[in-house]
Amino acid sequence: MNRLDTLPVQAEAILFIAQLGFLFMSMIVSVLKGRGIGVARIVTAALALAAALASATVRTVGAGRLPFASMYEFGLLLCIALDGLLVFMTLRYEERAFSLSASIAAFVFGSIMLFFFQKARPLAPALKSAWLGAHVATAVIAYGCLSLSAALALAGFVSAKSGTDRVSRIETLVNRLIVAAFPFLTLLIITGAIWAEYAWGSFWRWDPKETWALVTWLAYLGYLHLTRSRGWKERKAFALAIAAFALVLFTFFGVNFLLPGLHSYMR
Amino acid sequence: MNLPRRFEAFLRAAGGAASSMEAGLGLFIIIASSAIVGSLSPLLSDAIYGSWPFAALLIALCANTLACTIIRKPGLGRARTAAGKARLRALCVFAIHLSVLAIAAVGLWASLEFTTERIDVAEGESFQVEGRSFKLDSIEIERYADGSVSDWVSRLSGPAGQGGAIRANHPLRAGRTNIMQTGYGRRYSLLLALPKEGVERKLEIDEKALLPLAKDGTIGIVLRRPETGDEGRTAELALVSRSKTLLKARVSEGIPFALDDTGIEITLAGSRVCGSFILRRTPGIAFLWAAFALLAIASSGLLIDPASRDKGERTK
Repeated sequence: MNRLDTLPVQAEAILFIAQLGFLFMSMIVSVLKGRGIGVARIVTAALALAAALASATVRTVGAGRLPFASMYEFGLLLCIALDGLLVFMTLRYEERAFSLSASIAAFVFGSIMLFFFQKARPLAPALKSAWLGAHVATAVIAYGCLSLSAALALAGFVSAKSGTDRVSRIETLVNRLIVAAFPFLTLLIITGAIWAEYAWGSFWRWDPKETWALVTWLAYLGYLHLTRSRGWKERKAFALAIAAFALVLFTFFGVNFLLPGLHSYMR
Repeated sequence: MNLPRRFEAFLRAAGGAASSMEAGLGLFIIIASSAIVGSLSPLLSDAIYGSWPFAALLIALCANTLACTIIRKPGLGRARTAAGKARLRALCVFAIHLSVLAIAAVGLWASLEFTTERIDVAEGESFQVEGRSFKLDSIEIERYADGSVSDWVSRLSGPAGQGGAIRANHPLRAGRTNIMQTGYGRRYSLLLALPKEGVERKLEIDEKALLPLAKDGTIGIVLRRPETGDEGRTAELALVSRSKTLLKARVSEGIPFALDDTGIEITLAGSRVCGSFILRRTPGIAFLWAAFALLAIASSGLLIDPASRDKGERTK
């Protein structure tokens, strides 16, 4: 392998690590107070997003296709979604806890994904479908919103005292993120089912990934019912959001590594 | 008339319980837990997902959703009193319930009525689908520049230009049937001879299938594609007895191979590419897609936000 072959791989890895550096800085400036800190928060968040986008662009150009083919590539897209949400939260909300939670979520997830870094491979035959883009895009949006909701729910569960204005703001935001994620979680299952009908000859086969996606959907459906109709609030709602996100994590990591099935090519 | 009143009260209570959210949530938990257990191994998967208690749980959840939709009319109460975005959102909540019921009904119909058939076809052979004859012209493996597989392509010719190419994600539609490729292998032509006795027999065998040499089937040969070399003119031969491999050798086209002391000579006379296909017919699939579309649109309605601004938002 000559230097020109390895150059794009090195560039995308460096950009990905740079993203983590900016996220770390974003975490630090989210804790600090003082003049100009607000601008520093926006700048670090925007730089993290720019670095992640640049890393994805280098991979896309190098591989000659969009980064939809492996667990790392899905993680890269999820990092972009989380960085985008961080920028959005920093621009929209003054509350430091919001941008701190978002930057921690993005940093922790990005650091984990660094261990799964791998060179771009050609697209497997099973993934050569028009449904791949829609399926992955809905997963990225849904999991991005749910990751942030879980980080905020954790912050609310651990730090905030019940009944305060702050906990009420966190609760509203957690709820909005889950409500925003739910249609995409639904679309994720729908696009998967339609794709499965054409690829495997059956729209539902109880493959572990399908099963866990359904279990996750049911968990968030339960959350929506309990918070809307049974008035679950604050700590109970936070605990439910965290528990439901644990299912998302298992669907993403656990199923890929522990439960072999028809989605095994995602490793 | 105490009895009718009691019966009416009982019916009300039963209806209330059957349509309650608590019952629905309880079923969510039981179904999710069973599904998780089933996902842990293929053995558990077969035992759980195909079992009647699991089917009963799914039917109970559908019944709960149906009762809830009819009795409680979720979202409709709010839709009557609210206006604007809030009304639209409330209507979407009701539509989600309806679409889940539609998916359950059509999914049940499709899963009960679908037909599926597996066939193995060699290049040049024909098969029938809904009274039409299709011929497998070729199976090709497309590769990337690095040698990894890009796609498997089965080319079929059919009546009045109905043929076409089947790829990994692109089945061929013939009437109401989808023709999907599921596997690829070779069909070998062999010449079996006992030279001392002057006996010769010609036969065909599919890759990985056992060709019994003894009447009780305890010993036989299996042919596979070679990992390297010309897979059309050579094959890996294994002599197996009760799942144990006794001998392995590479055989080449036209060259007789003597099978140890048995006196049997095996000659590879040729091979053809062979594909495995599934012919699947799923009734009502268009209705299922329609129900999915309704669910997608209705759940997107949850994004309609009646509130104008959050607390703690930056002021412009």
